[in-house]
Amino acid sequence: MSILRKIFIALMLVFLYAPLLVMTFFSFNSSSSTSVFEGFSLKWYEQLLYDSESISALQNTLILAVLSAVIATVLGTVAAVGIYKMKKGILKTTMTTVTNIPMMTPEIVTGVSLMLLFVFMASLVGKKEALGFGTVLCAHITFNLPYVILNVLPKLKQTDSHLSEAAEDLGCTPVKAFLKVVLPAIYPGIFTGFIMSFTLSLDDFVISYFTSGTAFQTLPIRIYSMTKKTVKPTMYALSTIIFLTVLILLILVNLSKSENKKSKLRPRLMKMASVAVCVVIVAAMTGISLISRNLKNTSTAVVSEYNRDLAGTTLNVYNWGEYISDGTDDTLDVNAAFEKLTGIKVNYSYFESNEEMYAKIKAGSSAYDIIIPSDYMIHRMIKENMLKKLDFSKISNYSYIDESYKNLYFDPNNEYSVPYNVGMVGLIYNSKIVTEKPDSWEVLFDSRYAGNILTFNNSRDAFGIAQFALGLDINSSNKDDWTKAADKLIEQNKVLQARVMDEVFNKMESGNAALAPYYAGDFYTMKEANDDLEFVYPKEGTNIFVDSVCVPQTAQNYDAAMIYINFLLEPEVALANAEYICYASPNTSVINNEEYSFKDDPILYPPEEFKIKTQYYHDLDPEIRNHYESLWTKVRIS
Amino acid sequence: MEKENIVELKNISVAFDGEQVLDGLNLEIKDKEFITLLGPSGCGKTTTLRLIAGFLEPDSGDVLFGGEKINGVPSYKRQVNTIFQRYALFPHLNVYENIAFGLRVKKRPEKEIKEKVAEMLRLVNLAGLEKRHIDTLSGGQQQRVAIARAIANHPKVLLLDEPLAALDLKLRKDMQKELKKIQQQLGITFIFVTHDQEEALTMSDRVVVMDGGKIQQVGSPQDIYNEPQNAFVADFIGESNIVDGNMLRDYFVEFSGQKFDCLDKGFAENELVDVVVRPEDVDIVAPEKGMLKGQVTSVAFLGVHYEIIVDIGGFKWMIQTTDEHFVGDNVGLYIEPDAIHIMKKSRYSGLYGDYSSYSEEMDEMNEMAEEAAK
Repeated sequence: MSILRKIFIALMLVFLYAPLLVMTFFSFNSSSSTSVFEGFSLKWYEQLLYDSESISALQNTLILAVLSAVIATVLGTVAAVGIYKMKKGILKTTMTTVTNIPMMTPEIVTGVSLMLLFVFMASLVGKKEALGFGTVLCAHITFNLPYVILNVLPKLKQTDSHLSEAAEDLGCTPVKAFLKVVLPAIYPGIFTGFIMSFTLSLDDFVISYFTSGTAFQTLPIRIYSMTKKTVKPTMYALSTIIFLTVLILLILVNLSKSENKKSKLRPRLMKMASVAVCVVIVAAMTGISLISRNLKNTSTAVVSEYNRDLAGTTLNVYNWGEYISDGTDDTLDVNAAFEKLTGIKVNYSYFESNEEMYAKIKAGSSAYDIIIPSDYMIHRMIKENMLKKLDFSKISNYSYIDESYKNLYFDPNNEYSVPYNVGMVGLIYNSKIVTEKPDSWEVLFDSRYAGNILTFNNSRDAFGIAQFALGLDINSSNKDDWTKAADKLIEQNKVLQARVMDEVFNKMESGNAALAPYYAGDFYTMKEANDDLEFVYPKEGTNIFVDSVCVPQTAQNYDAAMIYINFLLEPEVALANAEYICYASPNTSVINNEEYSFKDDPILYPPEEFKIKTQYYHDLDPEIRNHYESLWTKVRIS
Repeated sequence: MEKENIVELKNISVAFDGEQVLDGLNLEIKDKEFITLLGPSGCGKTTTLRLIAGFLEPDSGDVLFGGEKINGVPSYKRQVNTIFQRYALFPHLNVYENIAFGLRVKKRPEKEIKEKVAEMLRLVNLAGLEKRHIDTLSGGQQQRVAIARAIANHPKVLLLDEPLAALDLKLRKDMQKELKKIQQQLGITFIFVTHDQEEALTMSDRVVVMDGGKIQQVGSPQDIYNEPQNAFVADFIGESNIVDGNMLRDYFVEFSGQKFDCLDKGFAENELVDVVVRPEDVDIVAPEKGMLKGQVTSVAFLGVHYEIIVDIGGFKWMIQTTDEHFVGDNVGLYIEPDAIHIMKKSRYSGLYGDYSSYSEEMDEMNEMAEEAAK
C-alpha cells in the first residue's frame, strides 16, 4: 500500500510540475525549437532584456496586480466587517449572495458586461476613448472583491464578537479598537485575500482583454496576441523567472510560518514580507525596463525628413501579434523610428484574428487609428461603413505598391486600404516520409499517409483545401458546393492526425507529422529546424491573402494615421518588415532590392511561369456563413 | 451613613425588533456596593449592564453616573470597565500586554504601566505568567487576566457579565470568594450579572431579581430568600411550595383546607394570597400528629438530605429532610408559623411552586421539548 501511495504522490507531482519543468528546460534552449534541445544558452534571457514591450507589459501586469489587490483588500475588508455587523435577515443574506455573484459568473460574461458599462458611461460624459488602465483596474478590483470578503468573513466569525467592545471599554474609540484589536485577529484572512487577489489579477486574461483599451496591455494579453506566429522563447524565459520568483516567495512565507508558530511576531513578519516582496518586484521591474530601454541599441535611423506638426499627439495602432519589425536582433524598431521622426507617440496593441479585431471595433469601445485586417474582412468592413477613405495625396509612397495588388476585389477603386503583406497557403511535407514530390491537395486525403497528415483548425482554410481539391469555387454561393466539401473533409478524418494551428511548427519540425498545409512565410521557420521539410504549391490552385492598412471610422488621429501609412511604405521600413515577418511584400522597392534576402525567392515570390492559380477569400453571405459553420461542426464531430 | 448613588437608571425602556427587553426599569446602585442582577436568560440583565457600559442606548429613560446624565456618552469615555462572559482577551497579545492595554491607550508612562501590571498580576495570582500567550492559559487563568485587565484602569464601577459561567464548579466557588475579596480590597462598585441564584446570594450586598424586563425585587440576599415578593422570586431563589391561601385575618391564614397561624399582617380580611413554604422548613411527622396529611410519591437522595414529594389532596409538596422515608408511606406535615410566608397575588400566581410535574419522566419530556424548540 505504501508503495502505491508513493507512486501516486510521485505521479501527482509529475502532472503538476512537468509542464513548468519543460518550459524552464526549453527556456535554456539555444534554438527556438520546442522539440529539439540544441544546447544550453541564456540567449532568450538576454533577448528578454531587449524586449521592452514584454517588459513593460509585465510591469503593467504587476502594477495592476498590486494596486487592484491592495484596493480590493481594503474595500473587501471593510465590506466584510459591514456584512458581519448587519443584523441577520434578508438584507444580510442578500448582501452575501450579491457579493458572491461575480465569483460565480463566467469570466467572459463579467468581461463583456464591464466593457459595455465602461463604454456606456464614457459615452454619457462624451469621452471617446473609454478603456484604459483605469477601467482594467476597476474590473480587477471587481472580481477580486468577493475573494477578499470570502476570506475575511469567516475570520470575523471566528473572533470573539466582544473583542471590539472590550477595546472600546478600555478606552479605544471604535476606529482605534478596530485597528488595534480586530484587525490583528482577522489579519490572516486579509493576507490570504490579498495574495489570492494578487494572483488572480496577475493571470487574468479574459476580463483584462475586454476592458483594456488601445493603450494598455498586460502580459497575458501580450502573450496571447503573439500566437499569430509563435510564442517567442523569450516568453519561456520570462515565465520561468516569474515561476521561480513565486516559488521563492512561497518558500519564504512557509518558512516564516513554521518558525514563528507561537510568536506574536508572525503576523507582523508576514505583513513585512508581503510588503517587501511587492516593493522588490515593482522596483526590479522598473529597473529592468529602464535598463532594457537603454540597452535597446536598435537602429531607428531612416533617411527621410518628416514634418513634426503633430508631435505630442498619440496614434493607436492595432495589428496582428509579431507583425512588425520591433528592434529585436538588431532589426529596425519601426515604431520607435516613427516616434523619433515625427514626435507622435505610438500606442501599439495586438489582435489574434480578424473576427476579434472586428468585434472590438464594432463594439466601439476603443478608438484605433490604424488597423491591419485581411482582404475579406476589409470587404465586410467597407460594406458596413466601418472604414474611412484614405487621403492618398498624403501617401506619396503608395507608388511603391506593385500594380498586381491594386484594384483588388475588396477595394476596387483603391480608396480604403494600402497593402501591407501578402501570403499564400502551400503544402509543407517531409521528404524523408513523402518520397515522391506531391503536386496535388489530394495527397492530404491519401490513405498511404494516414496518421501523418495535419490540416488547419479553422473552418475557412480547411474548407478551402477541400474545395481546391474538388475543383470548386472557394467563394461559392451554392450551398451544395459546401456540402460536397464537407463530405470530403469527413472522409479526410480517417487519415488525419490532427487539426492544428500553431502546433504545426512543433509537429513538423520534430518529424511527428509529414504533411501539412500552412502559410508560405512560416515554412522557412520550420525548415530552419528540420532540413527535410519541403514546400510546394499544389496544381489545383491555392488561397492568397492580403493584409492591408486601413483607418476605422472611429479613428481620432486621422492625420497622424496618414503619416504612419506613408512611413510604413518607406523602402527601409518596408524592407525591415519584410525581413522580419517573412511574408511576401507588395512593395516594389523591397521586391527589387538586391539586398533583400528573399529576393526572387520561389516560395514567397513564385515566378510567373509556375502559373500558380490563386484565389482570394471573399466575405460570404451570412446565410452561407451559417451553413458552412454548421457543416464545420459536423465535420469535427464525425 | 447613607452612601451616595454612583449609577442610577431612571425609567429605562429598550426594545429590540419590537420586542420589549427592558420595560420602565428604575434602579439605584450605591457606591462601593456589590450588586447582582439575577434572572433567567432573556430577563434583561445583560441589556442593563450594556446600558451602563455604553454599548447600548436606551429608547427612553436616563442613565446617570455620579449624578450626571451619561446618555450618549460613548463607552470609551465612561469610567466603567467590563469583564465579558467569554473574557474577550486579545489573542494577538500576551498576558502582560493584555493587562497593559487600557493603560497604553491612555498613554501612561512605561514605568507606571510596568508597576501597575505587576501589581495586578500579584492581585490575581498570575505573577510570572507575563510572557505567556493567551491561548496557552487555562480557563481560570484567562478569567484572572480579564479581571486584571479591567481593574488596571481604576474604574469606578466594574461590570461583570456572567464571568464565572464558563468555569467548572470547584473553580467557580474559588473565584466567587476571590472576586468578593478583590472587591472589598479595592473598594470599587461591582455590578455582577448571573442566572445562578446561589452565586448571587453568596457574593452580593444586594440582589436585583429581574424577569420580563422588569425588576421583581431588590434587597439583601436574606430579604430576597426569606421575604420573596411574588411567586416568581420565591420560585427562582431556592425551592418553594407555593399554594393558594385565604388570609382570614392578620396572623391567620387558611390553605390546603387547614387554618394556620402565621407572622404576616396587613392584608384585607379574606384576601386571596400566595402562601410560600420552603421545603426545608417542613417537618415530617406521624400522620396523626401532622397539620396536613398525605402520601409520599417520590424520594430522591441528594447526599446532604432527601428530597421527598408528598401528595396532599392532589397538590404535591416538596420537603427536604435528613430522615429516610419510602414511597407509599402515609405521613403528616408540621409547619411552624415562622415558616409560612404570605405574598400578594401577582401575575406569577399559579405558575410556580407545585411539584406535581416533578418526576423523572416529566424532566425528560421537558428536555425533549426544549431540544425540539431549538
